[in-house]
Amino acid sequence: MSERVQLKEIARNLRIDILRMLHKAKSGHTGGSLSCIDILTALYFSKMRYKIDDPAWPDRDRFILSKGHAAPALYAVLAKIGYCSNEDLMTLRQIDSKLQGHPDCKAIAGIEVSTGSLGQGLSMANGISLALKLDKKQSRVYCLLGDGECQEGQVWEAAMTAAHYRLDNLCAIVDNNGLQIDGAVKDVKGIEPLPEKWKAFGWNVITADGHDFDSLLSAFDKAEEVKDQPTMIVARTVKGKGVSVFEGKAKYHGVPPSDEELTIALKELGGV
Amino acid sequence: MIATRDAYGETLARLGEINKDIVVLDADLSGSTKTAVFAKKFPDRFFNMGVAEQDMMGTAAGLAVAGKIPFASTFAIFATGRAWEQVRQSIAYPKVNVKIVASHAGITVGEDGASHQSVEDIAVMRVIPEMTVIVPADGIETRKVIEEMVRYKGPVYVRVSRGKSPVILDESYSFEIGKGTVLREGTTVAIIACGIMVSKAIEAADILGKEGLSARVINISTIKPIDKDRWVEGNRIRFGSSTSFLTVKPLPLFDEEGRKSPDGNVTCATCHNPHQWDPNVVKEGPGKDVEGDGTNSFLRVANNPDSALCRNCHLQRSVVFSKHNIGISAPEEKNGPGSKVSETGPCSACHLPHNGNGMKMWARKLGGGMEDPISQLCKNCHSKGSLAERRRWGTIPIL
Repeated sequence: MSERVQLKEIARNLRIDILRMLHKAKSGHTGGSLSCIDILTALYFSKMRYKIDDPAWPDRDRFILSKGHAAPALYAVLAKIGYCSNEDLMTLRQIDSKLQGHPDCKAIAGIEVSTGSLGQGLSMANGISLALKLDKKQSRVYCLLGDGECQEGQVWEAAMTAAHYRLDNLCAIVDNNGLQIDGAVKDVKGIEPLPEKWKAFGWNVITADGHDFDSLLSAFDKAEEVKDQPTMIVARTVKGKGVSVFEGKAKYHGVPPSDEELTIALKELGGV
Repeated sequence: MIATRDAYGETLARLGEINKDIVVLDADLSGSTKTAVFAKKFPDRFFNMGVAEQDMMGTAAGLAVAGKIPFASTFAIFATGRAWEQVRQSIAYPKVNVKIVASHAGITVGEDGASHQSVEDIAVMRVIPEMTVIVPADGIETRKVIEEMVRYKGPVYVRVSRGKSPVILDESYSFEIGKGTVLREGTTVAIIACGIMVSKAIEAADILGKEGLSARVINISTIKPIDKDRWVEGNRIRFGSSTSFLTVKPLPLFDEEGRKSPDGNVTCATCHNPHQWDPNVVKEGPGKDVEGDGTNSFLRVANNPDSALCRNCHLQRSVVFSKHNIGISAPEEKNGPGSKVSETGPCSACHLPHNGNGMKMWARKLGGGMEDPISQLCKNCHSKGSLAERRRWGTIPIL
């Protein structure tokens, strides 16, 4: 089986995990978890260096989920790696669970920083990148933002910081699914043209198809070659990707699958 | 005299040599916060974040997560106000090892005006879980606090000031998080202070001493966690034999009428009621020329049955040295409705029936069995042969 086929298979299974845990939790963010899961799959199961038996390995690559509401996607990945268990996944959002609605770095190994309040992840990624540079480490830092999140002013403060300090060990990705809770990003408060904005802020910008592993992995490789500049990958994605009833619908930003929708979804994903 | 911000800058630069994990961030105010001293010495470990405090806090969090010991500095209002939620989410909630050292706190930024004066910073930092809040009293304590910050793991807010202030501690002083220090022994009142107000508290103690009042001065430099041995719940100190307390804040403690009593202690207003007298009414008779001009504050009750009740406070070497001639009894006709001795008796000077729970009548100030002029005020009525001898006084509610 080629790597691409393997990644697709992993992503398909992760989508099933995400939907099952959201269905069990009866609340949570379906659309954005599904739109970014291919990006996480490409990173965690192909691009990033880390040790399964040593989550705190100092030379690991780091991943920051700045759009913390896509926590189910991250949890599914961490369970697949073994940093938490499949049983843990079914406790999502319950009281006393390690799996809070948004990622808590004190609860599970492999979560680098706590996120959830939008706009803060990129600053923290910058801090980690600066520290890695001071320590002359080769590790890379990946930070995933939402496109609605780019309405936060702190994102652009952080954009200036990364460019000013020439953080070429940093690669940020925008999950550009075009939708946020209240509707289409362009209707709520437009942020396009995103690639041009990031370019103007001094970043190396690559546009990719966020559901195509060739496109994503080639973007990550190109980012690694760039010197003295951080890279932003604007990943064009589809909210709710992989399940027809959720695709392209803002409504499913923060709504979990109903019993019926889960049945349809599992059928489409071949999870029955 | 040394400004605590100067002590911060010098200490940071010195520690930077010893500990290579120390990194410093500032938001375009390094000259004012004195982090510029470190920046000059260690440019590779200094990050100017520009005018972007929220980003600065997040970046500091990232550096800490990756093993550094970041000190993030700017003016107090921007560190704690502008970036409050970043401090909460990125620093305190995950309990990362970031030291926020903010300068120009309180009204020490004076001339810049209200936009830059931070009077809320201690309060808003204190409520964040996992956050430690420290306000050093002088240059020496600032140095010792910063040294401790490098050792201590976890988020801390340290508040320093702009202006030069007296050095009140000496080299033998040792700082410990959460421990208050008695700087001056005293038996009658305890003055609790932090930051640059500690030296003012010592000045106040000197003034009180000249008037025969022995004041204990306590430096509570750690606001959170508070030293519970020295600061008991309810904002009431029970420290050794001290019988009452004052807190010193860089804000007016009393209103313009000098009678603010937010916590039920004896104040001027216990016995004097400035609103009792109608200044529009010209008084006739023998009362018009005594106890002021008839428009000032007056006794709530005549000083019957025992003028010793007044003398407890208004004599030299007592709580309030007064120029009043207490030999002249406040005339009964000066008392307002419901406060006439003939109608209510003198109890209401010290007891408010509605001050307690249910039907219990509470003293305005509950004496704790202390031998001082204020408790003598209770004993005047609640002792053998006196008006209310059958009622008890002390910490037990008088029923």
